Amino acid sequence: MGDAGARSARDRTLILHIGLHKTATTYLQNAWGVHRYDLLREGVLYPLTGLVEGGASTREGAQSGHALFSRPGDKRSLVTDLLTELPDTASTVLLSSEDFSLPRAEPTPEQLLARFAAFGTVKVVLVLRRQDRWIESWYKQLVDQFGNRETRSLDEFLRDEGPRLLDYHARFLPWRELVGPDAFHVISYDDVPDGAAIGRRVLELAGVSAGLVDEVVATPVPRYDSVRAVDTLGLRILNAHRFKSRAERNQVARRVYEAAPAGDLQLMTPEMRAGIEEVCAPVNERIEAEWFTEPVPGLRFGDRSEPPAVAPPSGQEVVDYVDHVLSLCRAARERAEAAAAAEAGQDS
Amino acid sequence: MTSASAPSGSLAGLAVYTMFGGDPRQLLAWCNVHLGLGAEQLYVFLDRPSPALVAALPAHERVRWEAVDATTWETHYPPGARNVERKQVDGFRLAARMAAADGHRHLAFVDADELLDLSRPFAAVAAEAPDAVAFRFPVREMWYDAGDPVTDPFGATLAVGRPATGRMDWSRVLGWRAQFLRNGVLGHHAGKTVHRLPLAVGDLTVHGPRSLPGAPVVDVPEESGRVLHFDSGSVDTWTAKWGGRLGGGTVATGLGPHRRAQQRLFEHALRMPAPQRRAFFEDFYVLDEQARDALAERGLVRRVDVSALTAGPLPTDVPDDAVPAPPVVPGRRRDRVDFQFALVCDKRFVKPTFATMTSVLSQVGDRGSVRFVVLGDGIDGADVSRLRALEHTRYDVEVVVHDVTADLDRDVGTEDAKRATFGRIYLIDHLPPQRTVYLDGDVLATRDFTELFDRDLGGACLAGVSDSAALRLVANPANVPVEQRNRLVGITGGDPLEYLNGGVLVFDLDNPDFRELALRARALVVLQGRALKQRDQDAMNIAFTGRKHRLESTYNYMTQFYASDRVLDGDLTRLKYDAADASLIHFSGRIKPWESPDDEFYNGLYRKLVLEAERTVGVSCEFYFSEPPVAPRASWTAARWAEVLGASTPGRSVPAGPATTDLAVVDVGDAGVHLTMSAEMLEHARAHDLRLVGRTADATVVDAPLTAVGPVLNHLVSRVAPGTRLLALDLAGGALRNRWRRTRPRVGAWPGRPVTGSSGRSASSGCSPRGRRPARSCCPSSAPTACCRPSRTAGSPAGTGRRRPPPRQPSPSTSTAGWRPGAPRAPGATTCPTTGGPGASGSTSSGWRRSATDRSRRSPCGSPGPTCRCAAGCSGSRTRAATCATTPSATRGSRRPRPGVRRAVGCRRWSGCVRPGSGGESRAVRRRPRART
Repeated sequence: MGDAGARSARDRTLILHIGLHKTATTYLQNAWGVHRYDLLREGVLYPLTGLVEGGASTREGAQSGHALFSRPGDKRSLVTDLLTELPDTASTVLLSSEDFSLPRAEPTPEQLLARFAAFGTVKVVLVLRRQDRWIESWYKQLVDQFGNRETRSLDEFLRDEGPRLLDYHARFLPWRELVGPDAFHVISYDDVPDGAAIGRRVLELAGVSAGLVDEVVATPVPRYDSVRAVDTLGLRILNAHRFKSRAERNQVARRVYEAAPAGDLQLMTPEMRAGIEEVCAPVNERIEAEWFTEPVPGLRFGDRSEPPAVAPPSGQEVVDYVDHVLSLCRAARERAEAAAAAEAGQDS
Repeated sequence: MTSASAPSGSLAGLAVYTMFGGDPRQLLAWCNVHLGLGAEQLYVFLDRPSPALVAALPAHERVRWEAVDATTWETHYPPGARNVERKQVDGFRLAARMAAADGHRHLAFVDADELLDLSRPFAAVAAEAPDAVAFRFPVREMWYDAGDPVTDPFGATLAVGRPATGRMDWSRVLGWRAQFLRNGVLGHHAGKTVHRLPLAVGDLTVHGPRSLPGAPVVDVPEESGRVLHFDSGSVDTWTAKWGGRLGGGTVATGLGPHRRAQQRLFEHALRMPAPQRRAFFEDFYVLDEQARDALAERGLVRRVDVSALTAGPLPTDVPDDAVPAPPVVPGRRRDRVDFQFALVCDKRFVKPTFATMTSVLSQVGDRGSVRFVVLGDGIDGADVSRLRALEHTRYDVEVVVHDVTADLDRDVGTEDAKRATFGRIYLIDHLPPQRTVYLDGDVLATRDFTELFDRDLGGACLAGVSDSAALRLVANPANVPVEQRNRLVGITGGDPLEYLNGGVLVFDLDNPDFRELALRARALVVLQGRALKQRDQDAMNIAFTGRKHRLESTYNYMTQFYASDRVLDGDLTRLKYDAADASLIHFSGRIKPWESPDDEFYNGLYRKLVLEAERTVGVSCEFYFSEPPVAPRASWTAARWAEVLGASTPGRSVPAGPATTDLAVVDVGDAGVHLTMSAEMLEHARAHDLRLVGRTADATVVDAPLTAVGPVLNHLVSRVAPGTRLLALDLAGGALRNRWRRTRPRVGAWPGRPVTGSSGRSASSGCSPRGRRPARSCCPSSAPTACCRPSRTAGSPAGTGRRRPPPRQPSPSTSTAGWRPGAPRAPGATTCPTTGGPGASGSTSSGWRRSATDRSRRSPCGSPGPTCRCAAGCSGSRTRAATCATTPSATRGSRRPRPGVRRAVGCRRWSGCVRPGSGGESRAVRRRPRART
């Protein structure tokens, strides 16, 4: 396995799974991670390079795949590492991170794809989900994550971010134009039975044998389901406290989950849902017509069923919950401040 | 090459050349194929054929046999230049002249395991390029299909090609065998060439012209023709081919790294009994249905059957005596030992690895014989010497060091600073087949753990301790990074505890499945290594899936893990204390105890364990906290002396027997050798023309007739203590250089290391080399001496002049060492060992004096010899001499010296003697400082 050979990717294919968020990406990444050596045996590298190493999360199995490739900055050394990792026996590389589809000013899709210019062929896989369900899940994830410190309510969030997030056609057309329609593969999350079906489609695209595909999709791995709507209340309070330490924040977050009352809240009102549909249905019809070869009624808001109704907690329960979260945050902050003071004393 | 593939007469207009040395039945089949296809003439050069073979070859008008005997090669080729490629090329040039003289226009150059398979007549191919001076044909390698006769050298029927474009994952076709391929072939893909005659001027290789400026060379497309390379041959020809290379009968200089890797693999197989060897051959060279289909999908295989063409016109039956006996593959140097350990290290880890070995030896060395097999990456001779220093201890231990630097360069690359750990994957090439405990170089033993060698592994081939990450994952999954979690779960199929740490592993080489599983693991590292997170550790865990046995954590107590806060979770805390009384402690942290003088607990534990082991074994690991190095020989037992001096038998035991006093090594120092020799020994030496030979590695550093030792050498020796003289051995670089050169201009090359004698393969054997007459040690452990006697084959009457020495003397007396290499045998007293001692009458220039009693005795050469009395009551005569004796003719061809091992030849400690006139006091050996003279 010579170095030069390992670094030659002209005759390799890169499959870039770019999301969206909340379309079973974590499940897929965990499944592919568990079977990475099996995939390698079939000539598909699911690389270690680009994975965000780290630390613990609030829940087992949380990850965002090869997110390092999606971040701003010079990533040439990272790509070099990827090519170094690439064995002669692999003909396909599978990269997956929903962060590729983050609506960032930079890097643009063109800049992102330029990072993989060494590959002879690049195929992009995008999983779309109808916008009303997607943005609610996405909002919950933002509130849950450490880095975002999201404190807005859903309606505020929708008002602020909706216009640039919900027009999928405008967001992803550059990707399609850059790689060409034949290399741009779209899957409708609302029109497949589960995440395993998405995984199956991607692995088939990579040329994985049917036997291994069956094995991969049958493997139980952790998912990263959305938090409950009621959790977002406590998490927004937590985020307002601006903890500096991820570990500390995770610790409190876990207690916030535990403190949440039974029942749940309704974040997305029927009015909001109808408004989204009115704006996005035409966009999705166009996407269906231009990007899909099969009908995707789910994406076109064909499913009119509402989420199952859940009894909301009582007002007292919500108040007690908020009080408890406040006390948790206050205690954690005091501990953090005391520790910082002690450390400063030692330094002096 | 069915009739449909190669039209009859396709070789019309073509002469074919080959050079051959092997089974004539293969050659006759080769001839038949080419004759059958219409070749005009075959020029067959026979490399060192037996007369029976020459007589057995049938005459044929279109075959010209040319025998080249060994004398021809030896006459025209200097040693070292008789490689098969050079012979082939030179033979081809001669054949080309013959063929041109015979009127032929084209001559093909192919090996005897290659067949020309043209789809079109060669005349048509040549007509398309009338100006071409050479036509280069591509190669297809022949593999056996299931059911093909593996006893037929041309019985393989699957012609496999390489993809013209695109990537081919050979591991999906061939599995672990793919690691032995280069660019998809086992042998070569450089093609073979048909040359136009007369031969164009220019450099040639076996594949074709190397440099023909301006001359057109045509690359013939595969559609027009190809060379079928039956690289495997049959079981018999494969055995002969590789056995010849391993045995040295055939010298092939053009072996690339993959070819050399094949050779190492085959070396094991060739030592197997015939049925197992055949099974291996079939495993390796027969393609199963899945592989065949995978190749067929890519259009890379086609069926070719040459069996119809091999039968005639030449008869292929030859007398048995015309078939060369299969070459003898060199055997392993040692039999099984009681406990075998494996380690790998690079230069940075030499000391820690030595500490690991020392620690192990201190715990198990008294339980039986021990062998350490160490694979080194970039270590040098000094490092090897350091590791082998354990052989100079009182234990029955062997240290075998192999260099795997080139293997790692090829398979792992040069960028990974920790690549030496991947050396584990090559252990299968170097481990004598018996159960082996592998240890990282940061593992220390706290107690005897030899129960691992007897443990029932339940059919498993690999045993080890669950990795700390696995323990953590089971205890608290949320605290494990998701990548690590997925990796462990994926490798183990959901039971992370099945993921074994690589720091301590039990390789059950006695299990017949071990070898293939180890090769599978290596294939993963070689072919996909960069994609493996923990490369060889992952690879081993994957390849041995279902064949692993979990050991208790006490056999690999990972300090980094147990010292961290991560074990504060319930079960882990309990495990931490349950396993704390560990047999093997793995100092697995990034900061190593030998680098950090911190007071951290495990650092202190490491220091303590190493210090204890150093004291027990009697060596120094030379860490910052180690005790100063001690002279290793100070702790040698008599048995050890006998062993090092070449006296042990292959079974390593040193049988009891009468002691002798003929010859003694008083001390072996960096600067010289102190020896004594009895008068009887001197007499014997004279009678049989014994010589003193000192060898180190392959260099002879001393070669002198024993009878030359005497006063004439006095100017070369220096007095280092009363009664003790030293002849410095650093003569090439010391003040004595000029005198040395005067007396012996052709002294052997000085290798720059302390002198050792050696039981060399020629004239160097000790007085009792291994495998022959064992020596009997007789020296107290406190005195670094040993006893042996000259070879029985040297004509020495058994027991002559030998007596049991005093068992243990408090202050051994010494005598002077000295000799003059290459000095002529001087007659009479002037050449005798000098007599007398300090203060005695008749003192010589060296200050020795001779007693009246001494004078009354005559030395064997006519002059009086010294006499001494043993303090323990024995008596005998003694001459002052520095000696080590052997009879060249009797010892030539004896066992090769182990490189780097210090070995003095011929020895007998003369101890406890009271020098006449010295007042009866004993004299202690005084060692000279170790600095070289």
